[in-house]
Amino acid sequence: MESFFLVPSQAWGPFLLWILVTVVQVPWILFCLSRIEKSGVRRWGASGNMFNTGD
Amino acid sequence: MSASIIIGIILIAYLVGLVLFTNRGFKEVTSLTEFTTSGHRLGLMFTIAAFVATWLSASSVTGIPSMLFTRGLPTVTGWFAGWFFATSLMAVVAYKIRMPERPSRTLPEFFKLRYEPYAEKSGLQVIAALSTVAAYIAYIVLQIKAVGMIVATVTGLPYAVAVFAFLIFLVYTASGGMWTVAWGDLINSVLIAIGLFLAGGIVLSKIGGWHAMWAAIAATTAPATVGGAPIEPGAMLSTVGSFGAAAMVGIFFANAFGGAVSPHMAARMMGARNVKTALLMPLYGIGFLFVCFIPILILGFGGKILLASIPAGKGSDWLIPMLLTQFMNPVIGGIILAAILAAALSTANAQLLHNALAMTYDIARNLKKTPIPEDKFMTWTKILIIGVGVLLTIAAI
Repeated sequence: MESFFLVPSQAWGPFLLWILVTVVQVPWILFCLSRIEKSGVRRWGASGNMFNTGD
Repeated sequence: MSASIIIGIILIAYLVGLVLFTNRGFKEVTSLTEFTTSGHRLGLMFTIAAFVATWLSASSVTGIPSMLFTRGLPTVTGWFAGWFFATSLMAVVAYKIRMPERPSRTLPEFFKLRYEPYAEKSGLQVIAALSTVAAYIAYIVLQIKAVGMIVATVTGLPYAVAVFAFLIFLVYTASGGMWTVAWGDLINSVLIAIGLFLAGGIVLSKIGGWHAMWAAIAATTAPATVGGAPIEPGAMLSTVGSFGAAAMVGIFFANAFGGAVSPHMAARMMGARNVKTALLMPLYGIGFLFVCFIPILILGFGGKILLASIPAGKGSDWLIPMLLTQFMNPVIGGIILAAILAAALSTANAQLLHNALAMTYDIARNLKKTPIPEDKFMTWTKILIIGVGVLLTIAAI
């Protein structure tokens, strides 16, 4: 079990916190982007796709 | 060929590459907005590179392994997690900063436009600028000292020569404004990643692999310094260590809030071509950084296993220089040293630029009765970059 998680069980707390705060950002930033795009305020420049943000 | 010559050749090759990249930035600077914020037209690749290279400073590349060596896993709880949480908050900062149709050029100016839009002379802008200057002075001196110590130890150059050589490139890469910083960050971010993975890979191979590292760290009782009291077995894996839970919560949030609003990061959001670029910068950048922090973790814990304790009279900051000189061949050592130099340079040049801009743009330009022509203003800023750089280097000696 321990080798599956790559770090010993005593170390899970800090690593879970680190991974959690990193992973949570993906839906959070996508949510922020969707709010901006839905607002229709074009002058903010929320244009392009996820890899090419130009017009 | 001696080790110093090999390392010297690698460092010179890096610095030549840096100058070639940075030169392209000088050609882009045609106005004050281009100088301060790249004309608000930095694309995704530039912003991600700038984010990564600026984030990975000398303190994260050398200071964090030292802290892991001394404190163990609380470093992950308070610093890794705290800093990474900062990028979630950056989304909010980016959203706010990019709301105006015409984004501000500096973070203190943003405060003026947001809270004192009709003031002819903004006191708030001056206070924010003074805070920026005060905070950056210590940080830049720290970067200069770190590079000076490591370069002097590994190459044998006198410390004063090492810091003044660093100063030349620091000033050069900052003096073209945001564009030269951004072009330099392209090469720096790649080199930092290469250096970290090389160093991490070598240390991991020397200690017998990932699982052997954790087993040894769990069992170690070696004190941080030779002659110190032994630590309890398993103490390195404690979640909060000797900090205690309340202090650790404070460290976590201090790192998170501090990282989110640092002016050089806000400047990258202002320099981005639009709000979407500003928001995607931390998202993609943090994925890249997460991978880069694995070798940083290995350097700290692997260093603990290889060296056990730092000799008495030397601080844990000697960890990286000792690993470089005792466990790496000159070619690998040279590449890693160049990566450390890149990490320090890419952070310190942005801080030096924004330090100078705080004085010229947010204080002098804000308080002056008559407008200053853009050319004259940029010349003043460049002179101030040189002056402040020299003063801070002298302070670091």
